[in-house]
Amino acid sequence: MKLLRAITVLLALVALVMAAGYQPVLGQAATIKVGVIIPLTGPVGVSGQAMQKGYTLALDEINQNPPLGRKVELVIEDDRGDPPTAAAAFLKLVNRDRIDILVGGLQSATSIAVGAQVLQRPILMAWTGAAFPGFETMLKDADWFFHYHPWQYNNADSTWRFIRSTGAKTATLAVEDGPFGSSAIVESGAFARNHGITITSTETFKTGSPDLTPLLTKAKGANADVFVLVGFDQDVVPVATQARQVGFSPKLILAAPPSWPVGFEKLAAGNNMAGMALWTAENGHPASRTFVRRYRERFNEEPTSYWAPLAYTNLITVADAIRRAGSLDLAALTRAMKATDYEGPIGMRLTFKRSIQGQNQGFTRLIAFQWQNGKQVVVWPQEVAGGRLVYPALYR
Amino acid sequence: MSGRQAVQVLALAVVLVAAVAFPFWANRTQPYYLQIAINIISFAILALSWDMLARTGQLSLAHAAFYGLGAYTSALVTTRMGLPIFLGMLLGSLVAVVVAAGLGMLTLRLRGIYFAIGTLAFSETLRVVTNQLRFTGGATGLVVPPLLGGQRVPQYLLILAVLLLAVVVSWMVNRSRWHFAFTAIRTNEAVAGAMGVDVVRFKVLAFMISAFFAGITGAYYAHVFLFISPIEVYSLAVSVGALVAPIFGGLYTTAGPILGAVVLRVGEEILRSTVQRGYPIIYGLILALVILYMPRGLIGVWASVKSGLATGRKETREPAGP
Repeated sequence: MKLLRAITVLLALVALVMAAGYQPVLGQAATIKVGVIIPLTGPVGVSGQAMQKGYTLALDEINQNPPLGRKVELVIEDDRGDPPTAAAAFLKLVNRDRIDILVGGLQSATSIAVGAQVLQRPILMAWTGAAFPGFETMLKDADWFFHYHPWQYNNADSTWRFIRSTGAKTATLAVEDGPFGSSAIVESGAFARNHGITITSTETFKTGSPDLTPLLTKAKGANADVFVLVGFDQDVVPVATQARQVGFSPKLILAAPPSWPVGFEKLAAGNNMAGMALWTAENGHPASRTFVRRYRERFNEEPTSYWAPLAYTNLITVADAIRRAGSLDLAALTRAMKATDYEGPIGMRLTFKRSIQGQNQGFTRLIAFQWQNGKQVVVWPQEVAGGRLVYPALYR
Repeated sequence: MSGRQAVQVLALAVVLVAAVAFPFWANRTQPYYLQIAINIISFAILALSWDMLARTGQLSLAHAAFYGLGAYTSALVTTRMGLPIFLGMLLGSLVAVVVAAGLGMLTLRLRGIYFAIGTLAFSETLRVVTNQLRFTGGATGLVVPPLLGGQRVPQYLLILAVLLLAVVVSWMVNRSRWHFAFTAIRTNEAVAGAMGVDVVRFKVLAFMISAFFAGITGAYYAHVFLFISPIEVYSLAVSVGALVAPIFGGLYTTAGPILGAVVLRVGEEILRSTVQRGYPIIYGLILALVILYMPRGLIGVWASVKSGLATGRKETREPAGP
């Protein structure tokens, strides 16, 4: 009968959760509730926390002139980077918190888990994350789904387009052996070919490996114009320092980690390394400068991740759509979102257009920057460049 | 049947009826609770299946491997071959069983930490291989068709049925001669062998039963959350989660792993939705305290309270099962 007792305890616990979550309904709240699903903890918690700061800045601004005369309230749910948690978080937001609009999103797996639920309970979904095209396919008919982040194929296209712009003819790839690097291998071949670049060799490595000199020595032997590193922040410093140790100096070292290590700007060996991102803090656009200044004032730190301005853009454009729609009706909101035309801190104009499969795609391009004397100088594309690319770069 | 037993059977029947009726109420009023219940039940099955193997004294870190095999087999046969999802799930669990039998023959002669390392290595190998193969979707993963049209009520009832099956199997194991064989092997494998217990056979059987439930839960996960990738389904977190719940709830029993899974998941959900960022610290602290000061888990505490023993008194007697 231990089982029976355990079940009794179980039922008591479930009742406790229900009691803890119970919120009396005292008529319609005056606020507009925006549900946010982001990973505040777990492996990508740092990016989720940057997003939370971006939302906070946007919220401060929005509530100075609230849409429809109603203050906006954020209900933030931590998905932990875990799909079951993300699905539960969405159902909590919709059924218990009674949100009007859903924003957020970072990883593909959690986004798919949420997307599957939203398909059954349509709501305006203004989604920042997920680059996996499978997610695009899943929501291809969803008119109420607005996607801000470039898709995986957009990222690959930007990277190889930038490499072509340097005049390089050959490249060698070094990719970490996890999902991040492996997906790059799959896409790189076709995109490199399309842009007239020959990949001379591809090496894999385990992210976090302290000694990358064997890999760099082999890359040196391949003698390609550009060395492309697809790894994480912890791999960037070994590449920068050990390339010098082995005398490896291609015309350009291009790294594309999701975020750069803190203090990288102080690393002399990192000078002239290039990177791809949606945004950098050195972005010269006036709205970006304002964002960086406000971010510093509010949080007393530097914004280092593009997820913060992306989240800011996400909420600002949603609030703007509510104002233009004049109501929270899904059809009206969808129409207003489709008419979005916004130039904010990301520095590129945001409009929503059809993508390969999706109805409403926002950004489709990354920018390239180069570390020059401790600053991320935007060097590509020309229209947003804040400086010239040093090419060939010297890494000795 | 005595009066006490009749009351107990009646109470069990009421609990079962409540569990079956729950999704119909929850889906109408609070689908959030339905989702939480599905998450808890899936976790409970993993925990209970891990415990069934642990009864033979083996600390397995291969649960993620069987979970992942179930998920990938079902995903691949339904997406690439167009087989029905139920058949895919069944094949997923059978593949896990077959692989478990093979792995069992290879590794069950290992003991203790060597067995744990061997099973962990197996799980990691599967992750890396799946990562590299094109037909598995590689590292970017696979989008998977929904089970039962994506409807949560029948999905809940299905996973509840799997849990009930796992409970029945666990209960039968603990009530049969297998229980004595498992306990003998766990206590002293050499002595068990000398006493005539077919050690390898029982260990492999435990491994196969355990893998069946891990595999079917993995397949279920794939068709409910609609996306799988090697880094998620072969994650060490799956194996560790499966062993934490039984330790927390009480090892070698049917109720302990289920209770552990419920308390851990419910506690985590309450903390997640109230504390936000700092909750993993609180969660970890509670977990550490329970493991340090309640070595027999929640079931052990219950037993101590019941028998009026002082807290902390250790019993050497093995838990007798449900």
